[in-house]
Amino acid sequence: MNKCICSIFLLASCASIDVDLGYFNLVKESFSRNSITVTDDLKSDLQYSFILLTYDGSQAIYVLSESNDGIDLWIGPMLEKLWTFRGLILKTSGLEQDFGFNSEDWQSISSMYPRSSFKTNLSLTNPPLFGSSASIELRSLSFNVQGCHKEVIYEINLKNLKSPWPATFCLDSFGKAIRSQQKLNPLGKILYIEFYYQY
Amino acid sequence: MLKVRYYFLLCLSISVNADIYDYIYPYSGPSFSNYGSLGLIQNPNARFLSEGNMAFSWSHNDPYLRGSLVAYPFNWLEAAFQYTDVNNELYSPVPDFSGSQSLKDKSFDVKIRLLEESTYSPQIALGLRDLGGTGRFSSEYIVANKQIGPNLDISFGIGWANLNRNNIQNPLIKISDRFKEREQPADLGGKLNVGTFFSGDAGLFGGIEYSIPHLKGTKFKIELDGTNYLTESNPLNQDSRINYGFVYPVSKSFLVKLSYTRGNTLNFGFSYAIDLGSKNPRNIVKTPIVKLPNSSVIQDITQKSEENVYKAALLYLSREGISLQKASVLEEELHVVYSQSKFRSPALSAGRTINILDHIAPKKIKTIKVSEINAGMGMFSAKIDRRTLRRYRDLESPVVLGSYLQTDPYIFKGQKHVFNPEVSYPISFLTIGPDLVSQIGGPDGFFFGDLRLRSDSEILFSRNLSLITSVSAGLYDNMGDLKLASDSVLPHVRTDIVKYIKASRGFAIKRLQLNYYNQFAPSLFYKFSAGIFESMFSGVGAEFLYRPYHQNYGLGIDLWQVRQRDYNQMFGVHDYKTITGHLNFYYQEPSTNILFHLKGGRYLAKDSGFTFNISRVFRSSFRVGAFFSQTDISEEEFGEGSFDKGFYFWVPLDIFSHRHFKKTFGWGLRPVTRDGAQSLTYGYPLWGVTDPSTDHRFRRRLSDFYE
Repeated sequence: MNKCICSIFLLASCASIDVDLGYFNLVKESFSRNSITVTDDLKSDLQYSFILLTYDGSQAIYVLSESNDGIDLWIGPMLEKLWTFRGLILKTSGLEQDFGFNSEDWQSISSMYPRSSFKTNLSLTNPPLFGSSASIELRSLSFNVQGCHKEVIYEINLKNLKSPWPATFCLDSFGKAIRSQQKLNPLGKILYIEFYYQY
Repeated sequence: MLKVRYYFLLCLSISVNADIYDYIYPYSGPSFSNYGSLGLIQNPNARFLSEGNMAFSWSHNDPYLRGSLVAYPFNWLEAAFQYTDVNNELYSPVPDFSGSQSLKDKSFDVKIRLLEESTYSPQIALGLRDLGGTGRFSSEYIVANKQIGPNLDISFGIGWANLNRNNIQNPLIKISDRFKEREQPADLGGKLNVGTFFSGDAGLFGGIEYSIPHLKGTKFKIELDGTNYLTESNPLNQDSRINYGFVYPVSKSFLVKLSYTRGNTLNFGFSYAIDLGSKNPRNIVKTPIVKLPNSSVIQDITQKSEENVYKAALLYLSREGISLQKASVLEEELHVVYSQSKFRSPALSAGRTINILDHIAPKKIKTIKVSEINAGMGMFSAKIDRRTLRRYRDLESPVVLGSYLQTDPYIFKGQKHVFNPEVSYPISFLTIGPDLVSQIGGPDGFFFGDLRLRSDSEILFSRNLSLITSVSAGLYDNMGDLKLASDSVLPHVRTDIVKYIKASRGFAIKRLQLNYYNQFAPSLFYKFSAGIFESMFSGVGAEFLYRPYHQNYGLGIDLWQVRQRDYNQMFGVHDYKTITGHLNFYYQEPSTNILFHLKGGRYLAKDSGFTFNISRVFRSSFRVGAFFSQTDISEEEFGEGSFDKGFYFWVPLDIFSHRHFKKTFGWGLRPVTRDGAQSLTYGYPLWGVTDPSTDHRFRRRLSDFYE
């Protein structure tokens, strides 16, 4: 009996073996998250400006694709798109839950943010919410806090929804974003973004 | 005119603002009752989760502890299986049989939607509780639900048997006197006592479910309890018929609940529901096709010689996990034969192969044809013009592509090709993982488990010849106290399960099966097998399958000479031997993807009869199904349960991963394991091996083609 078992394993071992620890890998995969450390090597490899996004423990890098009038378009690994102005997310596409301020208001938003409150229409997906009135209230503005020249805290309020959610932006002395914390959806988790501009 | 404008704007504003309710009342789906299926607190309701969902629900409502597994094969069907721990009753009055263990009651419930809710009409459902069991909680009901506004759901119903608390006269008496009295079944259980349905006194029940705004979907429930606790074997005190409680959604899937019932009992529970049926239920981004950024450079090389085409195809396909077996260039057509064990969807494997070949093939190639083989048997061929391929790739329109994509059956045997790369056999695949052998709900104790380390391997000696093995070694178990002995009057082909479990707690061989596969014609497959087929039987046998590629049916026959194995699951055998085999008819209903499998023949205990198996396969490849068998043995010979029946589900594990692979977790349950109507469970049945060999399967997953 033992000879038989041994011969099977010997036969298997003298051939090319593809050992699959499938179940263990799957469990490991379920509990592990994508983790990225931004090093100088990474910066020089990427060459372009990029952002590091952290959402629910997972991380991803989006690369700067376009920049017009201070509005930056960042592209993700699966062609997800993210438009920002000085760290404020104006619109996303291709994410599980997308977010978008009315694009006709972007110009006026860029004149108000980060100095004052403003109003616009906001659209969300999953669940869908189209063109709901939103007031984005400036809650606090502090200087020289935790490496930020300016730290701005806004609160996003949707009409009829009594659950405002905060958004925090850390800007340098030129008004460029260093990092931000913003929710894309009142039911979602906070999206953390670190900005790495390089020219 | 102004009024018209006003109404237009009003309508527009309503549609724009309507979705805000999804944010004010998040997770506002239905919730589970103490009986395990969707409902209020004790009462059922007419709500359903969407098809492809599965749920586990647990509740403690003294003296009952209840765990339920609930499946939604369709939007209109709820099927639930429950174990109830009845704390105020012993499993058996004979202490030697079950000690001081409390009673464990199994029950099966179904609920069918009769009318879907509309703006003005309610949703109506008909349900049957505790079907075919001991009848301890059996009841029938018709219930209606109406959503009023975004946060209020009202339900009202009429019930019979265990749901007849306020004893109104049965309205069905007007139709027939048969409904006047309800007789208690006096048999071995496990049968559908259809004759007693909706008979005896009836009762009314109802209640409301209110979603509290801005409390993250928290619900308040209040109901007029329809349960007649006096009909239960140990009647319970009921101080009030009004029950009330709260449900809090920790997440969309996980709900916890707390309620107060009978005016004297605080109870709590939780439920977890998961969508397993949609194409990508966990919203995990799958690994995309390997990109070839230097496509034009590769094409410059491949246009110099056909040899370069073959070598480039071999290299780039292997990076995708696709193994090129043979290839030819015939005038303007490149034909590649490949095998793969990575992609579940034939459209995905063919799509990736064709798209990679399109990136590397020289310009003179106008048509690409690929043929997939499995176990040396041809599964299908897919052929497409390259210009069409690119046009619809740019338009991201695989469905339109379908009309230009030619798919056909394929026979591998005897085909001549120019490029025949050598494969160095034998090739081995080894998978190591945990395994749990369990015994649930017996008189010795509720749960006995044996955690094992299991290794499954496949050794390919050639394309057609393989050896599959499954061995395991015990890590930890509590099987020592298991002592239930078989009382079956039939040959003990399954009921000696306890002896098998106890004797194989160390090292055991579950399978050691040698297979030879081939095909007579493109849709006619056969297989010879010998060795250890399963835990309890070894032997030799053969299987034949006719599966016409462009049809949705299959016809098969299998025949086996088997011998019962030693309890220790090594190489020894017992004296018992038999010939078993079946004629099989399969039909895959194309619109719902329901597989009907009817098989008739001789079973392991030498009884003859048929098994009907029905299952539904969802977009993710999640499968849920049920079966029953009838053979030429009497109910007394069969024993408890009267006839063999059960349910099962298979969960594709790749839905939890970003990778593509074919692994599946399967779990099935027979309410009672007996010896009648038991089939041999051999490895790799031909229906599964030839799964890609049907046009219906390819076309159904055509949207995978460019992924």
